Parts: sequence; C-alpha cells; structure tokens
Amino acid sequence: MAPKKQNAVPDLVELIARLDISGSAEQCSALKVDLRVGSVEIDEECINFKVSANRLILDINVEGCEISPGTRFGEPVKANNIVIKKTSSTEASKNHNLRGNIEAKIGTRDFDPSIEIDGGGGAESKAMTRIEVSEEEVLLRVRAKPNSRWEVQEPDCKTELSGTYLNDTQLCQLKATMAANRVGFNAKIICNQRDLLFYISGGPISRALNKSRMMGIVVAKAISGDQQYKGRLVLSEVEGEMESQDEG
Amino acid sequence: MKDSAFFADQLSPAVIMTIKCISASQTENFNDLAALCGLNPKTDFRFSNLSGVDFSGCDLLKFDFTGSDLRGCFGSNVTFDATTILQNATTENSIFSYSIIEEKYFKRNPDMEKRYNRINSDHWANTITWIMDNAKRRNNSDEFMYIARKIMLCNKDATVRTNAIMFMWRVFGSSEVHRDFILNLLAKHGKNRSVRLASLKVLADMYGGNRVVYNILKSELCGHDGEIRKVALNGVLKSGHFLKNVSEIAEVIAGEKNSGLRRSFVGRVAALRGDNHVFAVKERHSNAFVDFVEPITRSKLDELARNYAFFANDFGLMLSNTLSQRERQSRSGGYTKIDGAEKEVLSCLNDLIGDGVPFVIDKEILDLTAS
Repeated sequence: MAPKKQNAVPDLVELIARLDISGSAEQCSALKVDLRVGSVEIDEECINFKVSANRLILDINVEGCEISPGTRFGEPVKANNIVIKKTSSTEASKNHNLRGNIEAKIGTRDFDPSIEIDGGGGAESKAMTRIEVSEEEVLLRVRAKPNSRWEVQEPDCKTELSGTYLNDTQLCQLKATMAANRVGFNAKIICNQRDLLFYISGGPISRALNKSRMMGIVVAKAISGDQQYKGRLVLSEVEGEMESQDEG
Repeated sequence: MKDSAFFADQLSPAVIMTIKCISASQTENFNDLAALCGLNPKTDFRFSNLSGVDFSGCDLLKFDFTGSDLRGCFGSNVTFDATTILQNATTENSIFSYSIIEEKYFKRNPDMEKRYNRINSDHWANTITWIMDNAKRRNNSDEFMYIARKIMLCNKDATVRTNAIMFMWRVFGSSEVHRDFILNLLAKHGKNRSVRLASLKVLADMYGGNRVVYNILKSELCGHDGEIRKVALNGVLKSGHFLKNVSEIAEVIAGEKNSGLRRSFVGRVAALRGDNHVFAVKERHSNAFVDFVEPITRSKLDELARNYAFFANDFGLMLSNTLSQRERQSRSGGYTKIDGAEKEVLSCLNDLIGDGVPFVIDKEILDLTAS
C-alpha cells in the first residue's frame, strides 16, 4: 500500500517516508525518509515576505511494531570514558636571612666582646592543581531525541534550514511485535511558530517589530489550515504500513 | 504529481487582506494588533516568536505564552499577573524575567509569603526603614532580597517604592537581576508617575547600555511629560546604542519643544565626531550647545567661528588662517567669502547635518560656499 502523504506547504517542507523490507532482518523493516526544506515567498502589492524555518521536529508514531534498539539515525552515544587531565604545579620559594654581627671592644677598663647572630629563614610554597576535562561533542543536523523524535536544526541553532537533510535515509528499523495485525507508522514534521523565520522586506512595516511578529503568527495560523491552531504546526504528515507477507 | 501550487496561491484572500490591514494600521499596540488579526489570546500566542516586542500599554491577563520566545520584550504600563501563562517561555532580559524568579521562590517558601505580608502592611516609614536596615546588614540573605523586592513591586505607597528603589541595588546578587526587577516595576507600575520617573532614572544611570533599556528610554522621548522626556534623553544620549541610531533619535528630537534637550542632543552628536565639532557648536557665553532650531545666519556663523577660535586656541589646536578680530571688524559690511574658522565651523555643521542634526543654514552662506 502506498504511503499516504500530506505536505501542508510543499515548498517549505517535503517529507517522504516508506517502509523497506528488503535487506532487513526477519520481522524487521527499515523506515526510510526523505526530508527537504526550503523557503517560501509572498510578493503582494505592498508587502513582500519570506518564510523559512530554523528548527523542525520529526515525530514518528508506530503501530504494531517498535523501534529496534540501536538503529536510530543521528544518535551519537556519549562516551562513557571522560578524560580528566590533572596538572599539578607547585611553586616554592625560600627566603633565608642570615645576619651576622660581631662586635668586640677591647680596652683597658672593660672587655665586652659581644657577638650577635640573627638567623631568619622563611619558606613559602603554593600548590596549584588544574583539572581539565576533555570531551568531544558531535554536532549533528538531524539528532535523535527521546520519545521517537528527531530534531532537525543547524549547529548554530539560528541559521534557517535549507536543503536536503535526509535522502532516502534509514531513520530506524521497525520490528513487528508479536501478534500484530497491522504494522504501520505515522511520520510528522512539527514546527513551533517561534521556529518559523519571517522576513519582511521593504516598506515601513519592515521596521515595525510588533506588526512583523503579529504577521508571523497570522501566516503560521494560515499554514496550519483547518487544525485548531495552538502555536504548533504540522507541516507534513506521512502514514504508511507494511504490506502483509501473506497477501498476494 | 505535485502536492499543490505555490505557497502564495495557498494563502486565502482573507489572510492576505489581514496582512495588508496590519501593514496599513496606524497602531503599534500589541493588544490592538491582536484584535485586528482576530487572534485568540488563549491559543494563538503559544510557542510564538515575540522576541523584542513592545508591550507598552497592554493588558496581557489570560494570555497564554506557553513555550514562547519573549526575550527582550519591554514596555511600560503592562498588565500581567498569574493568569498570564509563561510556562516554558524564554524570558531572558525581558519584563517577565523577574516575575518568574519571584513566583518560584514564594512557591518554594510559603512562610516567606506570610512574613512579606506582615512587613508590607506596616506603616510606610517602617517598611522603608526595614528595607534600609536590612539592605546594609543582610545583603546576602535570599529571604530579605525576595521580601524587599516584592514590597517594591506590590506596596501601595509610592513613597516606599520610589525611595527604596534607589538603594535596592545593594541587595541584588547581580546587576541583571536588579535591571530585570526595575523593568518589571516599570512595566507593572508605570502608570504611577513617581515610580515611572524613579525607575527611568535608575535605568538611565545604571543600565543605559542595555538594548532593552535603550528601547524603553527611546520610546519615552515621544511622551508628553517633559521631566520624563529629559530623563529618557539623558539616558539615550549616554547609551552606547545611540551611536548606531543617531538619525533615528534625530527624527524624534526634531519635534522636541524643550531647548535644553535639543542642545544636549547637538552636543552629544558633536562629541561623537570629536573636539573640533564640539568647539564648532559650543556657545562661549553660556557654555551650552547651539540649538538647531536657530538658523545659522551670517552673524551666527561669525559668532560660532569666534567661539571656535577661542575654544580651539584654549585647547591648543592649530587653526589654519583664523581671522583676527580686526579683520572681522573690517568685514562688518559683509564678507564675500567663507574661509578660516568660518569654513571649519561650516564644515563641522555640515557633518552634523549629515549625522541627522537638523541645522538650517542660511541661503546666503550656502551661496557663498558654492561660489
């Protein structure tokens, strides 16, 4: 059965997902996904604006199956070993002060030899310990998140998303649960209004931030279509299911 | 097969019409714009990007800003309380920052709420004394800080709030928290003139370099209250952000009725250019700067040139071909060319005009310069 897809704004986000059973282990199928992101522009009489996104969530719901452990795309496992470098340095300085004074007076009436010796010594020591923890961080554009979600974002978290992020990429493997009548999935691209970038060019409106922000919400609400808008938009949705081996 | 046509064709005419209405609208008020767009405060502002929005004069009761980006939001006379939902919203450097911190503290410490109620309901003089004493003695105590801050926010007596705000900085752990506290105070109690004035004074003196504070001060320049405008302009002129927005402020200041404020503006712009420009627009007798509404006539230019020569000489600057007093007197019948100090002053004035100072130079001088 062909996957059912619905892209709310195809020029902005295109999501294609399918189950591929070829080459997979028994009872397993690979969920392969295409994700392309672009931007859309509106050029009306007095206003010109561009809409793009800087963060998207790919949300997967499965039915009659579960995601096989260790098969998620974009899931770097944090290193168990953390290297701690300890550098110790000790600065020591010693001050010795030795002063000698010998006085002797020899005379006929008195003889008063005196010897004065002062000895002073000081020692200071400072100890410093510096600890360096080094850990490598992997920056990923598509990163696995808990609850069967993947976050799509540029590493600086600000730049607009543009281009192909997944190209028939195996997102994960699905393993059918026992006695499941149907094995299917639902993939959605979700975007918060705050993650939509809304650029207005030209005219005095481009400098009026309140108006610009309000327009961003109006456009997001319009994109959401018939859904009851609550600040989150489903930009694309794909549903599919695995064809039964018995059929045909 | 393609999913659909271009995006522009997907937007309904009603949406396009709404966008055009917003664009053409005269108001910048957030409430008015929301009503114009037909947006629902309970649902439509969730997870939204509202960073940098000016909420001045807005009623935000029952607005749901769950998960929204409210960084850098500012405004005065903003009404919001516990019914304004800020759950998981990003509120750094905004009028909402302090409310969230305070709410969390009193939720964790219900006994402190009781203590606060007792101090807050005391006589105003006792409340101030309590704050002053404790500010000195217990400046590390969370308990004192939160109670004092809540008193500042909620005490009904303006004297308590306005006096105490001036030394409250002592008890804040960081300048950011102090600044957020004042922004919050201004937002919530901005209708009270004395609180507004005191808050703006402290902001202008201590935090003029902050972008949000700068925006607030800038927005106050258009108000009707001369004293508040004065405080705001002083803050704006002192701020580092002024350097990037001279022409923007010039537009606002062009309509200013207070001569002192206009002169301050001229002085600040000149100072950005350097000593020569300061000398060119400084009046010797009053030590004030030239008011830009006064046209630069031939006699005014002559006077400025003399001032310029005086200040520059005093400062040890070498002037090329400065006219002597005698030469100037011999020209009493009118000079035929612009040179020496006049030329340098005129050059400085033209620079300042380029920066946005609306000096009006007499046509006669312009003609002489052209020739």
